[in-house]
Amino acid sequence: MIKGIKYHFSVAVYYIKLSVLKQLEYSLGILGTIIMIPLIYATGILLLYFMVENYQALGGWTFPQLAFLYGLGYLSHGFMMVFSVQNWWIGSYVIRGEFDRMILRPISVFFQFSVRYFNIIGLMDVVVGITIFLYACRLVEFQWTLINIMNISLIICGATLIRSATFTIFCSSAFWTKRNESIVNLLNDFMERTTLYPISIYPNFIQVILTFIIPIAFISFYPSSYLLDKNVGLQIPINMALWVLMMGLGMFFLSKAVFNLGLKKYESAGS
Amino acid sequence: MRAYYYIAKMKLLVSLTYRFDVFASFGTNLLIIISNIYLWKVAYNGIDSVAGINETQMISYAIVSGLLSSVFSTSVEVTIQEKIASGDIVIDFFRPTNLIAQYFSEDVGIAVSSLLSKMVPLIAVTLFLFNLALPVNFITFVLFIVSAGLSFIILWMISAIIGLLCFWFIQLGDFGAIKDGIVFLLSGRFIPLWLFPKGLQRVLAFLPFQYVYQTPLSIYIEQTMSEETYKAIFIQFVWVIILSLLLFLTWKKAKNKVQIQGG
Amino acid sequence: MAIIEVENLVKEFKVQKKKKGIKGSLSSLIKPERVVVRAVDNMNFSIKKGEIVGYIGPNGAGKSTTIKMMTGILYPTAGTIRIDGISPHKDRKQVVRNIGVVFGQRTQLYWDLRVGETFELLKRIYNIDNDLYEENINIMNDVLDINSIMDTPVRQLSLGQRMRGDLAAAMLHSPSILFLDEPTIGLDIQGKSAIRKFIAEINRIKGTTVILTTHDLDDVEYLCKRLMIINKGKLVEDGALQTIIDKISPHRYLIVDLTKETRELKHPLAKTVKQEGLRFWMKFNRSETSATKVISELLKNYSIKDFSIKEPEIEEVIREIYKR
Repeated sequence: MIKGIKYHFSVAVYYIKLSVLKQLEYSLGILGTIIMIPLIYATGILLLYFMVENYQALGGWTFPQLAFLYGLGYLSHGFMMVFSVQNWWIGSYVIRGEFDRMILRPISVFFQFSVRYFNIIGLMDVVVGITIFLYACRLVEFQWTLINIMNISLIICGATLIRSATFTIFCSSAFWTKRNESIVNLLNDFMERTTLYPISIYPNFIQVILTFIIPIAFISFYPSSYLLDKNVGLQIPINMALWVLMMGLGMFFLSKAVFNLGLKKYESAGS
Repeated sequence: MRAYYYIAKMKLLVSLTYRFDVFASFGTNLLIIISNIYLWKVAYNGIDSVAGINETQMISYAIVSGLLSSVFSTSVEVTIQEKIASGDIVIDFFRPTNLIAQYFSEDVGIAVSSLLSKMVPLIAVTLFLFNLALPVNFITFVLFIVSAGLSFIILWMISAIIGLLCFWFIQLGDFGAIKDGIVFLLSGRFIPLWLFPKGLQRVLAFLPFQYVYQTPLSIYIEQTMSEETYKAIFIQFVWVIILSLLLFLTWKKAKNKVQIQGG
Repeated sequence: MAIIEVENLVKEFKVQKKKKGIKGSLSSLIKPERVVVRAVDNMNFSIKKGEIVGYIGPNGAGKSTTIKMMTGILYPTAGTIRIDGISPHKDRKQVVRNIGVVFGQRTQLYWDLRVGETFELLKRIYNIDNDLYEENINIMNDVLDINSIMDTPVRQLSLGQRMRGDLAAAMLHSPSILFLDEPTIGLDIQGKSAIRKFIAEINRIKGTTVILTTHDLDDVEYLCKRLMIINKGKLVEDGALQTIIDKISPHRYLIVDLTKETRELKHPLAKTVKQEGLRFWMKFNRSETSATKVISELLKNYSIKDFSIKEPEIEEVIREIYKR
């Protein structure tokens, strides 16, 4: 068991090392993206500010609270971009036969796929996300107790897992359709609108879907409400942070199953 | 002239064959419209009007913004960037056809296909599900269409110039993303510019961006006709002329660069 | 001892038939027509440990499909495959631990990094201990001169160097079977020669079984005592190279140079297939007569300056088989 973990760990570390080295070779040509995307997200917050300034607190959420939600949501987005952006390219992998090489190696294909890319550009999102989040924490006077630190850590882990798993599940459709682009765009926009803004602005049935069908509300909305002591009508039997982590793990295993299903299709139909 | 019509038609046919992509794109646009509607509803909760605009108007603003953005996408900057990267641009420069007209026709073709495949169903959905308000009278509607057409041209020209800038700034990568970001923030697409601080508004009045979304949208929702409307459309015309000149100059410079450096 | 056993192997694909024209594409969108294609049709063969087997066939014959099934990349529709007694379909990790695969047109080396980096990754993936790793690198260096390209970024390598890198990478974990899919494609004479020497050497030193897919018949002649020919999904020939040639093309050619102009060269059992000035090419069936018999007959009636015997070209034989 220990040997297995050590083995997988050393393989993962080396995959990540090679991935980083490879990206450093091509440091040109991404300056535009590296500046612009985080900048757009940073100004998303600014626009919220203008709205609240000119109108009122949105759905009972003051600007500091909105910023807190936004920052927390953006953070898990950043980590997802760093660790699992390769989900977006499943279609391209299928067409180019990249999975063949992974199938030929004596280690789980899902594992290889999950650790092979450490997206350096995503670190920009993480940095901006942390900045926005810490700024919002100051605004809401968030208490950095030991318990809260643990809460935040668990929530971010769980939220990142939920995000990654959701992408894996939907992008695995590329094993059948061989195309990813449109579903990635759709899912990205969907997630943006449901994790950077409070979902309480949407009608009830949408909130129900986002809670019980695809647990996106657990990425930022419920955790934020919990940490900000806002009552949102959802009773959770245990600590919210633990719940988010459990949802994350559950989604993770589901995504592994879906991915492997897609891989089976690939292995019976070729490319 | 027939050639350009044919180019547009081909692009239209090609983009229609990928029906799943079309459906997903429609879905994305609808999603954004819906989430914006709910955001504005919650902002207006209990408030009558802000800056002279009431909730119905603002919601119409959000919906029509989404409708326009489903059609207002350009591929010219990507096309030019790719051709520069591959070196094909050299061949294109020395063809006898008018490249600008060709690229424009391509984007018009795509826009028409988006109109049919996305905007029309979006109009249907928002008309029935969200009570999309119609312009106050027919003249307003016509002016809106005119303004929207000019907006498309302005946006297209900005994109073309950005694409050509790649000649000099190829190392900096994706300029298109920068352009999209700026357009998103400063064009009034999401937040109408009258909500911005006065200082910023004054600056933005001298840039072409607000004339891409804000202008046609303001015309659409306005309740009374004013000379502001005609003034705005006039400024749009002015920007079209300015940008044409800029585009022409940039084009000439790019061509010179190619001739000196040999691609 | 059979290391590879294939029984009643079948692979079927569902292919969408595309229709012509605008009407066609529209109807394809609504109601796509699916056809079942039998890419591999009931193949049976077994390969013994240490063999070097050539695997040839025209494009689309089902070569890469069979290879993909043997290596676990594709699942068979029916039939069984056993690699060292294990099914690659059922026990993928066990099987791939013991095989090496090189695709001629795709590399497994990280394009932007040094060759050595990919090796280090493979060392960890295959859990190769340091001693074995060192040993294999040394062997690769002897046979492929791998140290000279260890520190070069893969994108700077020539095709021949990259192929050496891929071969070394495939051998790092001491697989007992090596699948090579067109390893000499695009290489110059020197490059091809190096690859062929490698295959022969590795087979000699380590007893590695080699399955070699190729379009280059010189590869086959140089390396393969056994040849499997696949066409339209079926195994049409399987055996020693010379046996196949003799079976398919029992003809020999007699090239005859005359001293003076003659309109035609006649012989009841030998046909003139080509004539250039004073030189005649005559084709005869070995089962009907022999070269000596034909020549002695001709000598009676014509004045012959010189003659030589030509074996059928392996290429001709193969082409003949493909035509069937």
